[in-house]
Amino acid sequence: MAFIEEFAAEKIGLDWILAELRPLSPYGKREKSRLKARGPGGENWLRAEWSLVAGLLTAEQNLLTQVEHDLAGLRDIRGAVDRACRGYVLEDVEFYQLKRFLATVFRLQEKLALLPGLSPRLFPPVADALFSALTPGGVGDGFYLSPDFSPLLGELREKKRRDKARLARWRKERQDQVSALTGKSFNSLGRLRLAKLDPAAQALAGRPDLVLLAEDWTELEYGLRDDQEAQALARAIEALEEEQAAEEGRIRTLLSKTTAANRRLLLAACRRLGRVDLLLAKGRLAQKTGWCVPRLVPGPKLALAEFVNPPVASGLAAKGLIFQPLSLHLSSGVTVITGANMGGKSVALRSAGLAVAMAQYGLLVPAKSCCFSLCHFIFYSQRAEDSQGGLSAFATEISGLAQALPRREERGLYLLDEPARGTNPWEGAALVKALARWLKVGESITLLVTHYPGLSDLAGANHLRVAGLGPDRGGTPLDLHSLYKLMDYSLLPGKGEVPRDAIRIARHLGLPQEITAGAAKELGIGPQEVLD
Amino acid sequence: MNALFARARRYRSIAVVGMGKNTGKTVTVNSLIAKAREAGISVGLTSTGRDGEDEDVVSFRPKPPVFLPPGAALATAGPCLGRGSAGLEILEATGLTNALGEIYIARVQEEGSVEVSGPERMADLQPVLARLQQLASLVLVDGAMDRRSASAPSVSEGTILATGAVIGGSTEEVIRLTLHAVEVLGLPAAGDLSLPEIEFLAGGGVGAAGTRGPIVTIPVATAVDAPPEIASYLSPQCNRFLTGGALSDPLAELLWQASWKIPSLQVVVWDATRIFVEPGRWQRLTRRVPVRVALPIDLVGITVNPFSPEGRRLPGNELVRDLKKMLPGLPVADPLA
Repeated sequence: MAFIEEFAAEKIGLDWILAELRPLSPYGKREKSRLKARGPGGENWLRAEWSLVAGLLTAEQNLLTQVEHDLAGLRDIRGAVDRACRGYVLEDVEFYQLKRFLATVFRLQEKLALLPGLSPRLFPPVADALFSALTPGGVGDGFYLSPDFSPLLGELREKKRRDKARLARWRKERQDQVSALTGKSFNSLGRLRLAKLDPAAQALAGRPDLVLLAEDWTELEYGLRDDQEAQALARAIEALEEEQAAEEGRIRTLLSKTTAANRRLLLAACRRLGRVDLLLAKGRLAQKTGWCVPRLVPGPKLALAEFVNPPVASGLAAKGLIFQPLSLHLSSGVTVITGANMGGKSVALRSAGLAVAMAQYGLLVPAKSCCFSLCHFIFYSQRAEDSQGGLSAFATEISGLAQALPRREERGLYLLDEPARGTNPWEGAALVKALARWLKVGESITLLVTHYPGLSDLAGANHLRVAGLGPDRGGTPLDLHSLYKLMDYSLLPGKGEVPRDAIRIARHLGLPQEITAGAAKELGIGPQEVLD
Repeated sequence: MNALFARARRYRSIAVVGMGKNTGKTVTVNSLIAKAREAGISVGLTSTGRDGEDEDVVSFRPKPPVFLPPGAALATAGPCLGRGSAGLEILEATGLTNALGEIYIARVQEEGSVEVSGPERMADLQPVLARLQQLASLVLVDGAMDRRSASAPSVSEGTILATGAVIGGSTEEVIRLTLHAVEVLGLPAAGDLSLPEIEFLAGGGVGAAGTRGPIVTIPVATAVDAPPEIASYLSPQCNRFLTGGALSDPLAELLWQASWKIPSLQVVVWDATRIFVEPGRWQRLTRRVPVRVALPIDLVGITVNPFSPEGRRLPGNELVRDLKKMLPGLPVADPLA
């Protein structure tokens, strides 16, 4: 079983967090795709990771911006390296990317050394031999197979340039002669168009230095016919072009082989840059959400002080509302949260899961403090019906529980969000009570949210209740926004009866009074009692 | 071509757009490059989409290659860099992409042919053009006039229109269609556009506005097919139809009909390359409805290709002569005459 199931990661907001974790380079993105949670046994790695991220947060902003700018400009060279290793000859654009990569690595080496807490083991190595091979004429920004790579290449190009110029001159002279005769110019394709009725057309007929290229009912189109000297020049140019292509191919082959020979250094640089990039992304996320360095403690425990759930806080901020920070203290066994509808019980439960998941993914936690012990798994009970598999929400929930419950002896976090709510309340309540009893035993922490009565007398369970709504003022129905502001989401210790706020909240949310009054009557409560 | 180039060299960037395939866009570009070389003017080149391949990707007919002299700057997609005969120094990666890959800026070290495949999006064309202008005195954009491509004329200082035998069966037909295109490309700017209206048009929106009040967005996926509900958003108070997309034949018809109920109706299009209305309908529309653009186009000149790919040939001299007569002051040339 995975550390956390996919749907649970989405439910507790871990997916939102991971989407906000945004490395800048292709290497950082790859590193992120391989990101996994560290369970028990990973304590040292996690402590080092949190410490690295926290250290980076103290770095000078200007330096961080420069490093991030360099990382954002990196392109993925691994494809080119792989092709070189498989014996392919690389193209100039790939050499350009390799050269640029190595130049960036040079720059980053200096800057990374200034980042606080970053171990030299994370500095990318530079493939000096390849860099020298790619920059024979000194370090420039671009890439071109210049004569610096091979003097022969320079000679061939110069020779070809001279021959081309000679040929062009020869053709221009001949064209000018014909133009002088006809009064017509050759066009940019080296062709001369002449009307058939033009007297000069007669003069051109049969000339050995011209060839009739096209003819229609009104016009003739001539081109020059090269003489032996021009043909020899053209052949010489062709031969030079072949020689030049062969020399360029030889240089590219050599550079490709040097690339392949430097494979280890290049790939190590890619990996380390990815690692640094991801660390910086974790830092940026922490800056955005707020952060503390988690502290690992023995024994099943989770203590959060003033945790701000980032996805929920972000959603509320969009509506102009502020998240009420959450504090809770959990130890092994079962903790039952009861409270009013809309009292934030589920958010509290998901927040507990999110805090643990973030910490175990090596992220800092958006709280004032976070002490916890590592979990092997996080289990979240609520799930949607499996319509394709023909299973109801209740059936999918129970089959999930059936798989997860035997793991109570492992260190895990069970998040039971209104379990068994999809069945009748009598059997549901009994099932929840039995579940809680089962989970009291073992090494795991269980957080259980329920509306079912009867759990208050469960021996050995911890109890938290949502402070909930204060007394109504005037009994006027409130909108969602006002209701949110009136609600106290604090978790207070204590058992107490399951609060009976449902009818009252339903009234506030706009259910017709006739219905809420009817429900109150069923329960034998007066309409004013509902609002009070 | 000399008169056309004399005028073209006053501009820092020129889009060359064709009225269709095989209208001689590439020949025009090559001629301008050759003239610039003779005049010692450094040239930059890019395209909207692909050009410079051996074969036309639409018609599969052989195409003339684009030749660049030493020192010219080029913006093209990575896979195209090694395909021509020119020796290119790769200067930088732009971070912008088209369907073929990332677009690079390169400088020609050794003259030869190149394959050009520049930005496809308008937002990408602007920075690429700006970068090329830092490297060259005259930047040419091998543009396209279709609904999908970035509008090169709207981001270039000037535009050259390439026309030719391929667009009509006779000299008269080619002239008629070319004059129509010139009229459309020469549409005047809507001088009284508000900033929100400009932003709305730039974002490709379709809406209606009045002299007062906000822009009412018309919720259509595209106005090209002229969904009839468009008319319900127009009224004497909300009489300015805005489209950042295409003005098509069906839409022109719908607007013409609406103009009978709303005589004060006006139309504002983002730029003239988005107008695809056949000449007859266009005349009928513009007799009743003033059509304006947000980004006017400065037409530098016209080039003519008297040959059609099927081998048909129109008298080039007549075409050039008649167009010159009907468009006094506008240079018209057959680059291969």
